[in-house]
Amino acid sequence: MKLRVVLTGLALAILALLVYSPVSSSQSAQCSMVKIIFARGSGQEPSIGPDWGRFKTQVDNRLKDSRIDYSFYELGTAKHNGYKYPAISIDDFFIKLRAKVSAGYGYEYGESVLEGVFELYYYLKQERAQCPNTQYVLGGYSQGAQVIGDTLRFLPDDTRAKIVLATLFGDPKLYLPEGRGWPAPACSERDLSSWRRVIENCYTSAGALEAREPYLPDDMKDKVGLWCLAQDYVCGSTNLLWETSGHDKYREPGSSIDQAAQEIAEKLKTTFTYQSHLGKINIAPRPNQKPKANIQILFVVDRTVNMQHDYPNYFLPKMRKLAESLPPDAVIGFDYYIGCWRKDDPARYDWALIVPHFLRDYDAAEGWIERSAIHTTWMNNDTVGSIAGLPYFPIEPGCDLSWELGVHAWRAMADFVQSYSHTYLPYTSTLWVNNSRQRIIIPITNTPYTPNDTKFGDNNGLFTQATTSPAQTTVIPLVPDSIRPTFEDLADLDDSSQVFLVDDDEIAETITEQFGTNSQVEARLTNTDYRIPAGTTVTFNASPSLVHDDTIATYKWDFNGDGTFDTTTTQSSVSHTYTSAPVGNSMTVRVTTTSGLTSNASASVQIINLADLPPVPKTPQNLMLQPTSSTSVQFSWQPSDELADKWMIYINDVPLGYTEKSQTSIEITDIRPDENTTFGVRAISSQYETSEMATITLRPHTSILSQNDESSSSASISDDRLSPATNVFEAFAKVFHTNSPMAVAGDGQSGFRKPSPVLIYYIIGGIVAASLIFLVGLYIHKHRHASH
Amino acid sequence: MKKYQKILIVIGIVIVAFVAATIFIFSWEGSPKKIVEAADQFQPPSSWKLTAESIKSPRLSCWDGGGCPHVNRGWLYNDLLTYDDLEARLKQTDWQYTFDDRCQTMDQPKEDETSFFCVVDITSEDYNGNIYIGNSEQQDYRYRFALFLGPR
Repeated sequence: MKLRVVLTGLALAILALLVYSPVSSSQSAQCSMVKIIFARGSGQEPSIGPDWGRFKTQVDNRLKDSRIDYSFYELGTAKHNGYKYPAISIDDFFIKLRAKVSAGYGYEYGESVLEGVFELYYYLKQERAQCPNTQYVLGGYSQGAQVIGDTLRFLPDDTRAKIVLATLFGDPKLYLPEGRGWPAPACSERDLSSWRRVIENCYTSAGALEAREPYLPDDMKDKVGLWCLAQDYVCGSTNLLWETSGHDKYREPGSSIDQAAQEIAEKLKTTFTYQSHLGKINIAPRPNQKPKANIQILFVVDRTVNMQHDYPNYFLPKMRKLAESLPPDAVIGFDYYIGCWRKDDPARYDWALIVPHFLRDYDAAEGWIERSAIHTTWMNNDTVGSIAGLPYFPIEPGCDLSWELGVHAWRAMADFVQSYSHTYLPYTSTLWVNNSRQRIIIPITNTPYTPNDTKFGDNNGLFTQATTSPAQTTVIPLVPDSIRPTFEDLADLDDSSQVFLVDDDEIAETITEQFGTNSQVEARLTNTDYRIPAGTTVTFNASPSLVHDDTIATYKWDFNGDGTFDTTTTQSSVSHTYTSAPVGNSMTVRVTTTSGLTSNASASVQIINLADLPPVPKTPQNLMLQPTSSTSVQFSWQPSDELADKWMIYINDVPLGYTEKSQTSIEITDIRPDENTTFGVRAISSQYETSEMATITLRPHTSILSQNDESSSSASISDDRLSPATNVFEAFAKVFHTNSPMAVAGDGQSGFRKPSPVLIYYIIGGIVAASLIFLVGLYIHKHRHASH
Repeated sequence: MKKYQKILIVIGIVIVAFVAATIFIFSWEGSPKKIVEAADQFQPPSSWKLTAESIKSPRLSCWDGGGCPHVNRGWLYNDLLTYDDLEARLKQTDWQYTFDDRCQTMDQPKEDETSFFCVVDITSEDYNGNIYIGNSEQQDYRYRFALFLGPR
């Protein structure tokens, strides 16, 4: 078995090295800012698979109106260096069994994965050579998730640095250590992995093909999102073989792929705004680009039990009709809010969740909401914020929505507006998109409004909290005619807000009449994310702000985030020196036009301490190659400082593994004497800071071993320790097969590894065979006994 | 001795039954006839070329992407499929369908468009699915049409 696996890797590695040729570094005019790559699941056809379709569509929906130039690539639609990901089907019994016993690294399935790994590796290598500034987003479903995960661990550092986000769905190599044990830490929201997104069963710890440990390289742990839905045996959310229905749910509206698309869009928008600060990306407005009207409409949906019938049957159609009646560019986005409210304790805000920027994708929003409700019991304050990178509210542990609905139904849970006031408004200023000039809240409920609750006092002031941001707030309830008059009291609560009570059919018209205008302005900053040492002077630039049928008169700047504008300029840029972080780590600029329209934009400003950054080891020096036979060399190097804790070894840019600090030479065998072979070494500190890579090249037909001191920018971290004499192909195969049960034995320092399921299969098989032999023997024995 | 023999026989039978059940769960495969008939309701123009097809039977343990059962077909073609053409063909099925916004402009596709220019959600009595229409990556054909029908 081990031989088979090694031979598979060996064959492909040989093929890789034979076919490999450096790619020219010429620049291409076709380079996009972002390349979005997807790897499909087992048995799916390239280009037409539904998960690829959903992924592409959802990402596209969220990026098409941005200024980010992006393009897609699906693995398996073209050959790269001879490799083309086949994504073979795994539904055949024997293929499934062989995949299982080889932990996904052997036989047909393992070869399919390896083919995908090689395709992605060489595709990225080629892309990096042609488009060095392009950044990447990766997505993988099922077998494709394994391909993405396996590839990450041996990509060069500079390639990994270009990956903005990788999203994995239903990964058969899933690893979540917090899902182990009883009770598992994940069930009490402890020790959660940074790559954890929606994992519906908190006991999920390993995929069906065993966990890949470590799951990700250290530098990717914050750049990967992992989803594993309930009843998905493939990613390990159940141990029941027949429970695989969940494996087909990732593409459902509002489910994992949609959530990932949202996270991707937000990450890209942040990334490119930030990079503009560095002068790499020109985000100046495109000619004739029209600003949005900056009206943000928030549907606050009462999802309490007395709305269970009315919401889908009465309110949802009205909400859709209303949204469709509004001018398409009048709205930044529709945000949905849901909350449950514990009436007996006003200090407990229970939980609340915003589903932002789904625009008109109602189904997705609805699906998200439904799913969120399912997850409620697993969320707490620490985790909800990590879900799909969405903004978050504190969640009251124990606020189980189903429990809330059940218990409070008979108490006539009732006061929805108070519920929404108590839960939502205190958080409004931190969540609301600050560049809207007009906020419209549309509460949707069938419950009358009561202004003065006997227990909590009146609600006066709650709306004031919602309006600390300069944008105006207007409330237009979408409620049955019979209870609308009760909302008149709401209009008296707060002078800074206004309330319109109009028929359902007139809401869109009211919004257009009151707030529609040809003149539009949208504030923008060139950079919205600063991480600077104290004492740094930052120049803020609002020149990308958009204006239509008007001109910008002033820029007001609130540097310290206290809600007061510190200075007003007519120029679009201004400098400020930060000695301490602003309130909420946020500054704001308000743009005002000559006709009085305003729009706000904010930037995050965080003060960092450079002294806290760990030191980086220096590049190793004095590299030497000493032949030990016609196909073997002794590769040695010397440290340049005392910081190195390990040495990472590379052959032709592919990381093979590491040696310990004291081992500064290694014998590498089975190299090809007729080809250039580049040996590389990089120092890794105990804090996982890596040096530049030093390389030396063995050239064919020459005994001269040349020193190449040119530093390369590629790097990777692997946990595979190399032996003093290393066969290059076995080491290469080992890169792919570290976690296979047949892999080269570990160093004994990686801790206890649980028994492989393979052993269980062997044991069961042995027992079955022994039982059958015993039964046959018993039968023969009895038969003979009887015949005597 | 006889007592132990009986116990061992029972254990043996249980193990054999367990293994048999495992193999059955892993390998049982139903007929895809019903879903194929459902997918066949969509009749493409005769000039279209079917370039990819994936048909999965119902299974107890379904590890493949797309779920079981499913039908996934891909066609390549050159003559523009208009919104009206597509709707007329969908009306011949018993599916319920929803066009997304981009289908409104599918009659004027851009040659360099890498995104889909029409996405249709499909629902039938037993199945859900999608249609994705976009430019073809292949030189001989201009457009690609993908139909997927899978479990609800």
